[in-house]
Amino acid sequence: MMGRILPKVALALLLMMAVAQAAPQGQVPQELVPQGQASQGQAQGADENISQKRQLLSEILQRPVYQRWKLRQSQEAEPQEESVIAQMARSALQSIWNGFKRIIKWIWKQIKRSNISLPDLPSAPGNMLDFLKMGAWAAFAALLVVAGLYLYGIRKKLRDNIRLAVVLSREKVKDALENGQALALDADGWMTEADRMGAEGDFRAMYRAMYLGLLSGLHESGRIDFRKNRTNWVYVNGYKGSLADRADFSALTETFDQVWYGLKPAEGVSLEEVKAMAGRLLSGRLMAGRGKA
Amino acid sequence: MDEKMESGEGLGSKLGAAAEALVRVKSEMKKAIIGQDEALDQMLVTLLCGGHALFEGVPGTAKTLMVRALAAAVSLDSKRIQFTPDLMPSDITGTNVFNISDSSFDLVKGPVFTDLLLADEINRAPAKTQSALLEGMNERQVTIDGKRHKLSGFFTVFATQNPIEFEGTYPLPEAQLDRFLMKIKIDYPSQEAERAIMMAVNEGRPSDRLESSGIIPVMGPEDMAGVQAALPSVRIEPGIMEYILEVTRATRNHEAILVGAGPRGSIFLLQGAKARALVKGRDFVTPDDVVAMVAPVLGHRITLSTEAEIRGSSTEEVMAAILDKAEVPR
Repeated sequence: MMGRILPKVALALLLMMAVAQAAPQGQVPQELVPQGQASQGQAQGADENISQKRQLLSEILQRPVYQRWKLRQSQEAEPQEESVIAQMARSALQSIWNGFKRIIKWIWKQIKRSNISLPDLPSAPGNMLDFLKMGAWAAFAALLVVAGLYLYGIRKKLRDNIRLAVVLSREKVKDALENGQALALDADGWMTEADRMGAEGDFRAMYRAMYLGLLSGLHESGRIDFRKNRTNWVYVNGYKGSLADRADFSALTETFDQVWYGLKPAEGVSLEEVKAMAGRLLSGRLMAGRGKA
Repeated sequence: MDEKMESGEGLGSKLGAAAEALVRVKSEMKKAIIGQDEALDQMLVTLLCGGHALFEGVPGTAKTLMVRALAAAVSLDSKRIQFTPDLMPSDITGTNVFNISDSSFDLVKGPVFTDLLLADEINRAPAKTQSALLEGMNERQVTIDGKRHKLSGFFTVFATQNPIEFEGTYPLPEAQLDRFLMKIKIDYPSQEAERAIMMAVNEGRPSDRLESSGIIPVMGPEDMAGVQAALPSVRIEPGIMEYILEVTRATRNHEAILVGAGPRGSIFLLQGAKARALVKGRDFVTPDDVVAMVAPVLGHRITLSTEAEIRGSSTEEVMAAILDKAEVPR
């Protein structure tokens, strides 16, 4: 039976490979294929014609629709940058997988060391012990295969989820920034975003992310009650904390007003001072969190 | 924030000078007016925007004195008319009087020919007399015996309405109310402010005597014109513009409101927010400026539904409910 199936499978595989090689790498619009290309070898005096076609092709490629198509293709081809959390999850999965491989190797070594030989096929149906031993080994092997497949499935699923999570978190940050939703991220998340924006040279957005992080952190610690319909000075006036902290919060709010609403550089306070003040207020948040616990 | 920002430092030269001048005007006014900080700001906003304001408050809360103090601080002329049921339009605008010596008519200008006009208890005069003021408010000109006369470029009406007595009054129609930039609500002074007023009187400085307060003019009409010209340069974030639009449009769909604010409401709210920013010493608008201007600018432009009135809802409550649903841009 195997002798009949194997040639068919091999033939099918060969056919698939041939089709895969013959298929184009990307979908090129029909308009882009020069019509005179097929008869290039036949017509000797067709060089001029070909150059005209090439010219036409390059003109067509300059059209916005193909420029957009090219841009989309290149964007799709670009690998997505992973967040720190995604990288950590990936490395954890990798180590689990490596551990599993090590366990398999160790079992295999143990089997080799103990000189356990696989039992011969039972010569007679009466040799039940040998038959059971072989069944147990087969079951063990099947179990290992199933466990391996299961782990592989989990790994694949998690990897997919991580990819999705990366995209979702980007969207989340984008939405939160567009709508000024301070509670969309926690204080640390906002500060990471602020650092990223600072590194990109967008200091206005950096101040904003930092201030949103401050609001998020202060809400988390119960020092303000964040509501999307309240202005920033309502939080300053109703701040539940020490007078020194409130003064810092007031100064940071003033700086945010200048930078974000006023579209001008922060006056009278350096970026380091702003960061230090935000850090002090947020470290108070951690203390308050510990107090609660 | 306001104390720090009200110095007007660090702004662009033109706007910075304007903001500093306004801060000085306010501090001069405060020599005569104790408490009522918000009302003083709103009066300055009205003058900056070139609009008119309707005072609402119980008698004896220094409304007349406020107008006189503002006029004194910015070197502008001020007059007062007490509206009564028998007041005639010509009593406001003026009339042509025959001059027997040269057989010609001479114009005797009425109190409308001034910079700041306090129209006291405007709802006591009939509609015909009230409407005589309308032309002046809208076009800064009046027509006397078919001839048009220009009014001052700073002509600003501060009208008062008595919110308690309604007998024998002629309530202002909605169309006329809409012409006022804002309604300035004047509450009783705080205990602390009232104590300070009593102390001043006790020390021989009567609270209703402007002369005893020692206000000195810190601006001239040209300076004020310069400040008004600087108003469009005040920066406003697009998100705050959307916020203004959202709040104004929400008045048109609210279940407690029968008639919402028109486009004039959103325009005046924008101007009011910009002027308040300048009064507070800033050259940019924050959402707080908009929130502070919502009730004074939009409150008198909406008509509550019958159900809301029966429930006992006030305009302020409804406006607060609208603000409660609008997302602050940040």
